[in-house]
Amino acid sequence: MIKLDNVSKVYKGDVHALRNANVNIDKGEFVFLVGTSGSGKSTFIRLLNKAEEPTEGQIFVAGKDIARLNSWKVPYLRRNIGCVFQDFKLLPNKTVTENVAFALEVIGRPAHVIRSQVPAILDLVGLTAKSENFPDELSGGEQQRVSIARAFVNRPLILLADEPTGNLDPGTAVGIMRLLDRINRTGTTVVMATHDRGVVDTMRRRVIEIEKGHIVRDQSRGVYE
Amino acid sequence: MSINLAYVARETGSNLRRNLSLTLASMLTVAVSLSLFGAAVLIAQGVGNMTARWQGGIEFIVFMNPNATPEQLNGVRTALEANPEVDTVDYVDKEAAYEEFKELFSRSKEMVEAVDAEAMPPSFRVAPRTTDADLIQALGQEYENRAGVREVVFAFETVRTMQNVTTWITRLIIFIGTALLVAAVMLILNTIRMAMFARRREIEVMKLVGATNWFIRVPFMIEGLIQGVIGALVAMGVVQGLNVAFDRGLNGNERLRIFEGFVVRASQLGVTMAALLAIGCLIGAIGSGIAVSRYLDV
Repeated sequence: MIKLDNVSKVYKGDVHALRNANVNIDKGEFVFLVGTSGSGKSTFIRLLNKAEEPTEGQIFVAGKDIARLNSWKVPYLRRNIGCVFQDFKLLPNKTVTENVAFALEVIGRPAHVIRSQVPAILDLVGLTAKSENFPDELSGGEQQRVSIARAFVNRPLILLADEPTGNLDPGTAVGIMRLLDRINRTGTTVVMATHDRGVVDTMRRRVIEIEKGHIVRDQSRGVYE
Repeated sequence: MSINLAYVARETGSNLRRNLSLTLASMLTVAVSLSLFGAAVLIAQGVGNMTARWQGGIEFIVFMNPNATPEQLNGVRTALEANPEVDTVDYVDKEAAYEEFKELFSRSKEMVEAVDAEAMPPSFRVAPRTTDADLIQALGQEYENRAGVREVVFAFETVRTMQNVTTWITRLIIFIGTALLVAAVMLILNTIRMAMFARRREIEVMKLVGATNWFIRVPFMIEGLIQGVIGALVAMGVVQGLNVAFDRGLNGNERLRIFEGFVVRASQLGVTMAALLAIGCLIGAIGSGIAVSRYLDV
């Protein structure tokens, strides 16, 4: 599903965010990217949905070399990749329903599809009761559920999550991890960058550790350290 | 690419409302600059029409001294007739000149009685082949120093003065109008930039979930276009108003009859209006095009 072939990313000022990374992630895997802040986790995530270009190497997503992707095709790549962030990125002037519907609306899904998909996904994340609330009326955990609903409503092949539990207390984080696990069980590949030790140690999934841009560990059913 | 019309209308509308003051400022700038352009074109067309009216009879008159000898008269006539630049030569003798004089001053008998045919200068009325004012002037001046010639009078001198004045006026107006058009482009560009800033979260999410570049761009481009078009419509109203006011002013006042030649034909006005609308669209498209390509990182 995802393949990094000798990928390096150098930012301005000779900052090496990633050095010669070789990674293979199969369909339906659940992968944690761990490492300290600035180790290159976020760069890894951003390379996968073409928010960044690799300086060197090839990246394959769903069999396509995305470095050679025409810029007009990038949106279609992103429709297959859901994204979840630490800061949720919800639109404050839209309700929960509107926030999720927006993701379908802007890719041109017809109204009847939106009407049936949105309530279904809100049911999945357990927010049917809050569907008409605005984001600032929700707790952090609820907001992250909305953002996951928005990322998953189009049923992407891959879900990328960059520190999704970073702003949440441990109890709430467990709920979010259960939700991501459930989404993973539907066959969606999940790649999650985190430095939440508790989450990684509880889940016991594949762990890729990045340190100063180098991949120093790649372990199935691993722990944080 | 599927772009939902209702979506585009809603987004564009909310963008325009959100920056109402800036939107109005850019529309007004477009309107003022295009009004100036329109007015300049109207003036130029009016002067053009006036000149065309006079051009049919554009000519100069070689006035001879009343006491010029027949040899002098014949000399000038032969020279004129032999000149390849001259189309026709009409000789107006003393009697004919006196008849014209009587007609012109028919209301004041004393004047007519005070002069007789002997005092009238005979003249040659010359229609040149060219209509170029400079060439005609050069041609006429050849005869100024001939024996027996009193003076050479050019019929178009008044027209030329008028042309010179209006040329400068239209140049000034067009200069100001162009400066304002540039200001309008920058204002539109900034309105759209503000709209993009106000919607940066939406744009970020749109990119994230895979909205196409055109889907993101179109509402902003239409926003710029609308500003240009509304500005142009206002300018068209102003120009139409100016034209109507000019026509009314003429009809109401006998003494302004002389300006009748300036009246702009409906077809000319139509072309001007279409041009204003086209420039308005262009200004909007350029402003939003720059904004979209420079500030919208898609």
